[in-house]
Formats: sequence, structure tokens, C-alpha cells
Amino acid sequence: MISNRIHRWWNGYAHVRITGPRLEPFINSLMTDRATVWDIVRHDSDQIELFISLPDFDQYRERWEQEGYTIEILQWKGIPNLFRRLKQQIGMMIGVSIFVALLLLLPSFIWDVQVVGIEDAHNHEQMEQVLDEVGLYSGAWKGNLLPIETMKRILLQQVSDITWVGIHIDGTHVIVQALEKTLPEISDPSSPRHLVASKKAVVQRVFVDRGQPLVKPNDYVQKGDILVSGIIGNTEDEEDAEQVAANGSVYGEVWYEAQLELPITTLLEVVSGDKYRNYAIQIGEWQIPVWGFWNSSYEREQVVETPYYVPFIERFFSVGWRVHTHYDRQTLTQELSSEDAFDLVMEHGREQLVHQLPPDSEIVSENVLKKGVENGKVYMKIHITTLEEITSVQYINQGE
Amino acid sequence: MGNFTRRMKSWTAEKLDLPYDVVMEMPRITMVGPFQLYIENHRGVLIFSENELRLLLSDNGQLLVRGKQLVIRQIWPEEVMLEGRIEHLTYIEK
Repeated sequence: MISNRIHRWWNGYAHVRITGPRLEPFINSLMTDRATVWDIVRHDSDQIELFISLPDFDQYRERWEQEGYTIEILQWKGIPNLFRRLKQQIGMMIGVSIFVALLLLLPSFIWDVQVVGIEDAHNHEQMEQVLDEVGLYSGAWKGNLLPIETMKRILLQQVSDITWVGIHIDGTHVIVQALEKTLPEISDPSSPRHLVASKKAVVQRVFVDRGQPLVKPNDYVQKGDILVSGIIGNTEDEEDAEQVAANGSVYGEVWYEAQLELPITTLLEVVSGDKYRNYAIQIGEWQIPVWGFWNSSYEREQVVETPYYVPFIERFFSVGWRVHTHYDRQTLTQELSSEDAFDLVMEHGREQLVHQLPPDSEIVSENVLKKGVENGKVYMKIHITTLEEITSVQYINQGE
Repeated sequence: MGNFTRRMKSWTAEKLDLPYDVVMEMPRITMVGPFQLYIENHRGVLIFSENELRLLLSDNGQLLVRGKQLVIRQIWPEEVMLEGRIEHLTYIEK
């Protein structure tokens, strides 16, 4: 009986209701035709319901209709009907498969190439041309791209006026970032100038390329004093004097003094390590709490939100998961020993100074002039000596 | 089937101890409790409803089955399988 059922399922069958005036002859005709029918029930005087295998139904259906029976299909069953149903929805199936194909296909192309950082129109044009040549253009298939390093190398070689190039592929979007060579403004070397002191200092070393040195080591100079003069020759007689662009470097010792202070006790906000997480589903602007929302928040807390969006769809619509992590914050009072505080102040002062100095300067000495603790603060007066370049340029006014 | 032939067959069956359903195409009826009924050697359905099944038999007699919720499980020439609650079984001679 089970094999029988499987057979029926395999062939497919229908549950039909047949309405007509003479139903007993109808049953007899089924019988003599040896049609595969089963479970015949008569609920009404002019109606019977029965199950019939699909091959037989297809064969007899037309004849029954001709004979004046009304056929009503209550249910389709079995494997052929599954296919029949699929066939009816073939348009839908095609649509769905095209959609899926596009969904998979479209992100594998480059849609847009954006060049950032090039101002010059000629360079821009050249850049785009070379990008085309290396295969980085909108419509290019991503699987076909050269390795990024190779593309960068080619770009650097082919585009003359860039010093650096970066390629960032973000999905279907490519951002090419470049840095143009910026040539320093060429100052006219022939225009006569002096070198003057930029700071109050004691001169240590004097190197003169061109010009008349007016200072020697251990000279004390004020800001604005001429170190190397651009007027050479007989300075007394203006007729004989020749004006040149003084060039050279003068190093001097410079002193800095600073008064610094720091509270000994500091309040620190720290995270105690206690935390809990809330989870929410996010659909567009909406957030639906899912888990953890019953936790009561800490007195002082720091909340970090981490969204996990569904990739790709995220571009159009933010759908996904959002995790809020709540960290318990506590205030800690940190008290420094005065020794530590002094060290800290010194370090801080040194750092601030170094920031302001020209590149090849060095600190020669550091002295603490005064230090103490007062009203919960440490204070320090420090003196730092540096050796640094002290020249700055001053042009000689031609009209004078 | 003439009257004489029928008598001959009946006599043969009796004398040779052959089953009647084979020799005389008499219906063979098998019943499983009040629920299932197999009828072999029938000649077609005369009346079928939820409460009644009337079958034509080979000797122009009729078999009348009464019951409730009758369902023809299978039907082939000469064999019917009926299910339901069978209450009466009447053999109507011609």
C-alpha cells in the first residue's frame, strides 16, 4: 500500500468534484475504463468527490466535459503538480533569478573612479588617461584589475608631476588620491639681503657662504641684529659697496625660562571594567530592543555603540544589529609624590619647548631654578639652554 | 445465461465440490468487521450514495449495502472495495 502511495505521488493526482445528473453510469464508466480512481464519496445527489491520477485525469477530462459533467478541482497533489505550479510562476522565477544575478554581478564592477588631490588640469587629464590604461575606469571588472601596488607604480611612472599616489577600492567605488609635486617658490637669489638674528642669543658657530660676517663666537646678539651683512666691499664708501644676498648659518645659544605648575592630586575618570550590553535590531531609523534592555544603567557610564549592518544593503538602507556597550565609569583620585610631579613637569616643559624649536636644534642644558610645593600644587621655574640656528632673512631695500 | 445452463452449472459445482463463485460467477463477498467490504464478481453500480450502495450482480440479482459514510475505496470491473460503517447487507434475487 505504501508503494502504491508513492506511485500516486510520483504520478501526481487530483482531488476533484464532479457535478452531473447521472452519476452511477459515470462511476461504471470509470470502472470499465480501469481508471485509477479512489476514495469516491457522494455527499449530494448530483455531486461526487474522488481522487484521480493525473495521467487518467488528463485523458478523461475533456470527454467528461463533453458529456456534460462539471469538473471542479479541489486540490492538486504530487510531484508533477509541483512542476506545474513552478511553470505557472515562470515569470516570477525569471525575475527573481535576474535580480539575484544582478545583485551578485553589479558589485563586481567598478562604478566610479574619483581622483582626489590633483589641482592642475593638465595633470588631471594625464592621470585619467593613465588610469584608463591601467584598467581603472568605470565599468571595469574588478576581477581583472592589476594588483594595487603595480597600478601605483605605473601611475607614479607615467604621471610626471605626482610624488605619491594611493588607491582605495571601496566596494564599487575607487578613490585615487595623489599628491602633486609642489615646487618651492624660488626666491630670487640675487636680491640682496642680510642675515639677522631671530632671537636674543650668544653666538656659537658662524658659517658664511656669502656676505660679510659681523659677529663671531661668544658675541651676544639681540633680536634683529645683523649677523651676516649683504653689503660687501668698502662699507664706508657707498660707491664701492656691493650688495649681495648673504647666505650662511649662525648657531647661537638661546635661554628659555619657564614657570610651570601642576596639581598633585588629579581626578581621573576610569572605567571600572564592569559592563553590560544591550542589543537592538535596527531598521532604518528605528531601533527595536532585543536583549539586555532590562539592565539598569550605571550612575556614570560611557556608552559605545557598535552597528553591524547587512553588507551591501547598508548602502541604501541601514538594516542590522546594534550593540550598545555600557561601561561603568568611576572617578579616581590620583596623588603624585612630589618627586614624580617634578619629573612630570620637567618633561612636559621640555616637550613644549622642543615643539617650537627649528629642526636641528639641541638642548644643551636644563636647570631647575626654583621648585616647591604649595596649595596642593608643585611649581617649578626652569631654565633651558639650547643650541639652535638663529638666522632669519632681511632683504635690503634697493631704493635706499 | 439460460436457465438450463445455470442449473447444470449449479449441479456441477455441487457434485464436483467446486466453488460457486468460480463456476457460476456468483459474487464473493468479504467483510472485515463492519468497516470494510470487498465484493468480487459484480456487474456495476446501480445506486451509490453516502448511505447506500446497490450493485448489479452476474445473475441479474442485486446486492444492497446500507450504512453510513460509505466510500468507494477502489473500483474495478468485478471488484469493489467499500469502506464505511456497514449496517445492512441484503441479497436481492431476480
